[in-house]
Amino acid sequence: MVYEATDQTFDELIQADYVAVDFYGTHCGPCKLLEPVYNEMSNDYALVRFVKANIDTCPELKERFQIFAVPTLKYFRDGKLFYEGKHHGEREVMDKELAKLLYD
Amino acid sequence: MKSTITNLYDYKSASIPEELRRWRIPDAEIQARLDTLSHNHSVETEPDTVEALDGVACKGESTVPRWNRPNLQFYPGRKLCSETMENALIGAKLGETRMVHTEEGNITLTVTRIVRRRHMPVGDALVQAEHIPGVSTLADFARWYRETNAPERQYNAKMRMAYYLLHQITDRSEYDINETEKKAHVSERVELIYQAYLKAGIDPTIPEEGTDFLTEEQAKEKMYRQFESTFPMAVASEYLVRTLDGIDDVDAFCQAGLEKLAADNHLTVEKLLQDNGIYVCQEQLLQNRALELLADHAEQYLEA
Repeated sequence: MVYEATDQTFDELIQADYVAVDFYGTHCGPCKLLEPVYNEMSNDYALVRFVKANIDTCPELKERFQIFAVPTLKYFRDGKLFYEGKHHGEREVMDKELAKLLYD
Repeated sequence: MKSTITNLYDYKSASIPEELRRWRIPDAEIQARLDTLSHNHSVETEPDTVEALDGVACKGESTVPRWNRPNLQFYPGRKLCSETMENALIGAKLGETRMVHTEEGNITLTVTRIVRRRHMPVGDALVQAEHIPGVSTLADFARWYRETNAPERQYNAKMRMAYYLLHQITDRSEYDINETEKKAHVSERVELIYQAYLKAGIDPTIPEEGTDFLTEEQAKEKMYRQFESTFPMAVASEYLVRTLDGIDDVDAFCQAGLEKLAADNHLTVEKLLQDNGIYVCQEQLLQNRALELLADHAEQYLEA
């Protein structure tokens, strides 16, 4: 399951042990390519919380996290930003990023 | 327009490329959709014994800091972590403690939670869970999916063919071009694009690498050469609207289109023209109508 965040609900949603956040845009092609991979990961990693935030409807989040390009993946541990993802859309690479979140 | 086509390319005898005619939805697309639904309808349980692919929360105790955490997670079989650690958890019961020996050091893992999420199998029960009226079997779903998406796919294929035909007509017809008219049309487009570049912070006088700086006039001349090829398509579009639609008064057609376009965008016609230019607006209206007419013609070429 992937939670859809808003400017208002974001802080509550990232209050978990391990959280991945996909910042996406409504009309962004690469974001649409990422979506099925992200959904699949949310099913496979049942204890990680997967969140997405539409920067077109969440201007405060866009400003706060300085999102200049989408999709942007950010990973949070215990409610705090842990690191920013570098690759998008390839399951193998995203698995490595998630492993970094869980085990580094 | 004063410019016109003197010899229209015989587009009705044009050979349409096979790939433009295709619109039918392949089985693979329906299977992909079913796979997505299977993920969406996954079922979650909390069993008391770990199996491969489960999510396992553990309390870790170790002299190695990164493993000495109360909220470790493992997914045995997914190779997210070392296989030694993942495999060590298979068969463990909730609350059970297991010792893992690694090169980094010894780690004690106590299982605190087990979550098992399994995709709903692709079958009749899956499509029934979607509650689509009239859909209770996989065959129903495939039929429904095709019927639902067919109009859009056919429309898209017709428009692809229409674009192809308009380009063929533009390239292969013969013209009587009024140069004054052409200059007015293309110059308006150049001016609009030039100003749009400036507004976006791009200076068109800054050259590409290795050339001298351009004056504003040179930059516009360069853009003129880039865009003058748009004029024959405008002439072809106007010609098609006039001859295929039987519209004698093209100005009145354009005026009606501008008024509708302005109303749809909550603008006055004056503001619309100020922002977009009268020739550019007219050309767009005529091209859209020409494409509709050619799309109607192209319907006969849709994949059987």
